[in-house]
Amino acid sequence: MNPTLRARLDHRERTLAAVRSLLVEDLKVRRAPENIDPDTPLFGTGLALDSVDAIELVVALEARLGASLPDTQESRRWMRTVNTVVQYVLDHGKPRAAGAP
Amino acid sequence: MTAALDPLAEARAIRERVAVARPDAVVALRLTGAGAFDATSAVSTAALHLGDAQMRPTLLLREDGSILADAYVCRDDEALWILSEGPSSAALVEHIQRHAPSRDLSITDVTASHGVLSVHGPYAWELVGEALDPDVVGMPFLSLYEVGAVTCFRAGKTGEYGYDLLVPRERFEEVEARVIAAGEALELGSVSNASVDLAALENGFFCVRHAPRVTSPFDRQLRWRIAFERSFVGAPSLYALASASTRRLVHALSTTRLEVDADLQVDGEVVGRVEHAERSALLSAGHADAWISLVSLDAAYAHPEVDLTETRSGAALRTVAPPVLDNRSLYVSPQRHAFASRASDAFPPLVRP
Repeated sequence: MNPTLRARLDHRERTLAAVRSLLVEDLKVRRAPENIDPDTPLFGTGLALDSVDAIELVVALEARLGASLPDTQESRRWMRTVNTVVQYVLDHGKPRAAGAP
Repeated sequence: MTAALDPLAEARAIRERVAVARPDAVVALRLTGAGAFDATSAVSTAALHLGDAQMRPTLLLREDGSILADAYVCRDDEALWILSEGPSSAALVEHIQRHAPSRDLSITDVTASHGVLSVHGPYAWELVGEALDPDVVGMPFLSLYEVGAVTCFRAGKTGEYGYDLLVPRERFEEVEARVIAAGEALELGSVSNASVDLAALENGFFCVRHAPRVTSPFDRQLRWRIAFERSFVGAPSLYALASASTRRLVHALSTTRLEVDADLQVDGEVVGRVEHAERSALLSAGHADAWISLVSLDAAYAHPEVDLTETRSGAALRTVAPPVLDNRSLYVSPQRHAFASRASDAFPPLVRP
């Protein structure tokens, strides 16, 4: 794999791991992180999150990954699957300083 | 009712209005008797923590851990339903009977006496409410509801509101006529099962008719349908497969046709293979021709936004994270919207440039 692609996919893998951890630790999804596939739906089927979980997810994305989802209907398209959340974090997240509140 | 015209017309009926199809591959079994729960539990990869009238997506596996059927299990008082796609009803019944812990089990193939109508679209709830019973509009997602002789399952496989209506054959024409009559005001479209399957593909949903060679739930990203703490038919083989899963089935888009079975390369290295490809009329409308495919890639490459080359034609493709469109049903609510007033509602475009 060429180094540029490797670096980009490594970054994506790390973001995917962070989103999986967030789902397990903050939203209490009862699955091992490695058993959450990237294209798993979040709501309805898949992880079967509900409207309360949606709020928790928005809060956790901001707090842990610096990705603030606006409170608009546009945000719904980013909340479809684990991968769409990962993409949102990659496009809009900000690295948090260690120890930041 | 709008007759099936072309793939784009059918896609627009599914994505913007309401569409009806006659699924020809659904098998509906009803299991009764003291052994019904244990028999269903034995073959289901998902746990059966179901309240009355609740449904859950699951898989039925062969003993080798490969996927036998794409299914919903539904609890109906003391009985259980299995709505399945994949094997024939005879093969499914044989599979369940062979693995049932108890002989106190009766399995009825309801599709032998009933037909299925499926209704899809952002205004599907309005149609079934008008044609069957207003209470159907309030059905929770993944539930069933009896309306006279009709059993209505709310599930959907297109990313839009979806209902499967199980209708006794002697009443089928009458119920279908009611659906069509109610659909007049909603510009109901009659669509093919192929269009419904394509809609599932666009949304990233599993369809047994797509990429049938990829039979591992791991490779198909279906771990969410597996309750790993449980024992079920195929579980030992499945768990042994976990570490052997080195590929993942992902979606990709291209502007030209891809050949199924062709190798895929990145920088001259073969990293996968095309498993399924078809043209999306909706994605192609107003844009460049768009083909959506399922490609099996080495796990290291199985992420969105990876550029690939199909080796036979030289076609370029890029992996994507489905859904590849913005489902209108995400924004349509039975409490706030109606088909008749849709022109005054502001919705995001189905397809973003």
